Amino acid sequence: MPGNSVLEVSNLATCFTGSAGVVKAVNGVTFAVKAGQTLGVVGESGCGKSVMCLSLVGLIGPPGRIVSGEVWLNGQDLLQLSPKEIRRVRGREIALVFQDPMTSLNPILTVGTQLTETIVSHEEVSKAEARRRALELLARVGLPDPERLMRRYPFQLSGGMCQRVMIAMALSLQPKVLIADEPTTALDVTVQAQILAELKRLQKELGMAIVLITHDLGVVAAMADEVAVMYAGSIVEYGPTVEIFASPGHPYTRALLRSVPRLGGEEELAPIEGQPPTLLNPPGYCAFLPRCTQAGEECSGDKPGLHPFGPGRYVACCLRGER
Amino acid sequence: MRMSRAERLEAVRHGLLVSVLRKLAGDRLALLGLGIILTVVAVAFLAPYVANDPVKVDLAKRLAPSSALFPLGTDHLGRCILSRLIYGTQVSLPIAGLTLAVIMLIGIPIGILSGYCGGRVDNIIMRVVDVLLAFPSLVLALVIAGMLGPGLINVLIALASVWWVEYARFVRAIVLSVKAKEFVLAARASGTSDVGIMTRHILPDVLSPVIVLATLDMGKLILVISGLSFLGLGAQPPAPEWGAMLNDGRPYLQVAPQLMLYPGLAIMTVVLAFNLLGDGLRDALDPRDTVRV
Repeated sequence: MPGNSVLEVSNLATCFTGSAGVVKAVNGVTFAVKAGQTLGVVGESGCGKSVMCLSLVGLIGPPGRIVSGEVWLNGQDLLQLSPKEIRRVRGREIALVFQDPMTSLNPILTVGTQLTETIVSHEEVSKAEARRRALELLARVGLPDPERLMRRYPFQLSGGMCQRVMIAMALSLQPKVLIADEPTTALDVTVQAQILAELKRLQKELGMAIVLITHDLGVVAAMADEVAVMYAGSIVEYGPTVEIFASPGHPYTRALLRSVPRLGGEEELAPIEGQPPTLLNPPGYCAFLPRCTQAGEECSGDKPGLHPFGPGRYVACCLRGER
Repeated sequence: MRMSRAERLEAVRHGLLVSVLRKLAGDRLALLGLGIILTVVAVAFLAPYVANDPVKVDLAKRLAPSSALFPLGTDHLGRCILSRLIYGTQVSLPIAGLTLAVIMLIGIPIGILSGYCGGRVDNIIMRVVDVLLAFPSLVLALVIAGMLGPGLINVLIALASVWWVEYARFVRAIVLSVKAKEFVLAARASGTSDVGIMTRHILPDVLSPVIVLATLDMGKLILVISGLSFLGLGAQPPAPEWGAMLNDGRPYLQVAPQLMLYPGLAIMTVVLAFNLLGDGLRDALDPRDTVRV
């Protein structure tokens, strides 16, 4: 994949070992994000999106284990760093924003305490300087009256305000990459639009890369420059958003796009039949095979890997692409 | 006792202490407990001004009944029982408080460490705790106090060495639930160190239930320390310790029951007071009432 990326992930795999067997939550994921660009990662619930982002910053605890892969950022492989070194990367180089803003803030500490703590724990600055920066950040994410807000507790804020605070916290150390794990799922639609617009504006101002994890195709269409479609722990399609939405290459992507209602659309909604596969002891063949409507003879073989499918596009399907 | 939203916002504005006090103010039994405790503490401080010499022996006046000079009578050595009870507060309360402090200083960090680290560390610590819990703690404390010899400091050591396990186990359970909260993951994701998470995010969550447990345990400790003194392991004569006074009065139960009655009542009252306050604090510090709207 092209060279000028800030974050390059290759062949990342994370497993959870339990009494029933091995759950391959993330199974050989490869992607890259350029500075100032957004990669949308879409997929159903339980396809390994969240585990993947936690794996990127080494936040997978037992019984989970990263079994292979490389995560390159700034010329260093994050998976090779010591716990102390990776801690310095978290927040400073890669920041995370989680799904539920109400629970991501400590309920018994004020917004101000939590914000300044993040700054002070990473940089040698005085309390006063950290406070000044915190105020600036709160204003920057579009929150009114930062002075007052600093003294507030999370439960006194609305969900949208909490998420803005979380974003402010994530941006406090000016990370190169922001991983947003379903940042707007828990919010009202109107607030969702505001937050997304805010993220886009901040991205432009700060030139950071965003990895946007979501199951909402509308959000991806609005935000992402590139899309990675995940299924059963693997990426099945990867490429520029516009092209993938115009002509999906993988049967799963096509089915996913068809299952979204469109205003004024004549087509009937087509849900994807069957259940997403369990990630416990996955079979050797294509994971989508049981649900695929186009499966043919050639699909019964080994699980297909990503291969080129047009300029800048990749598909993991036995039926498509140059093999 | 539920609070309205406005009251809760008020509570946050005024800080935790004020909100707890305000809620306690509506709880009569807890107030009674607090009142008794404050009175006993005041008595302990004022002892030299309100009491006679607690160790002054006057064999001519032994086993005297209540009188103007000796409101609760005298003991087998003619010592003023009321004065001894009053000076007894200077022994029982500080030693129970100190023991509790030592117990918490050992138990809370170990509990947090065990719960937060998990895995092998947790396993080792919890097996030690299991072993200590499997043994009747009072018997174990008796053995340790017996080996160390009589004396209040030895009682403290004996009690602390068996009692910390309760706190470790209790704190660990809370840590396990707090650790799974998303804000802890968020803190880790923003690069906060493990020590930072333990002290700034987990410790505050652990404190309020521990305060409740400690208040209730204060009563228990006073009781156990008195018990050990009664058995001759704690305070030594002529120190006016309540449990020791009970022991001193034992041979005279039939002729002069006041020797055992008043120290017994004193112990019961103070223990009851701590239990009432502890119950009140449990309601007042319930996080479901203050944290979420």
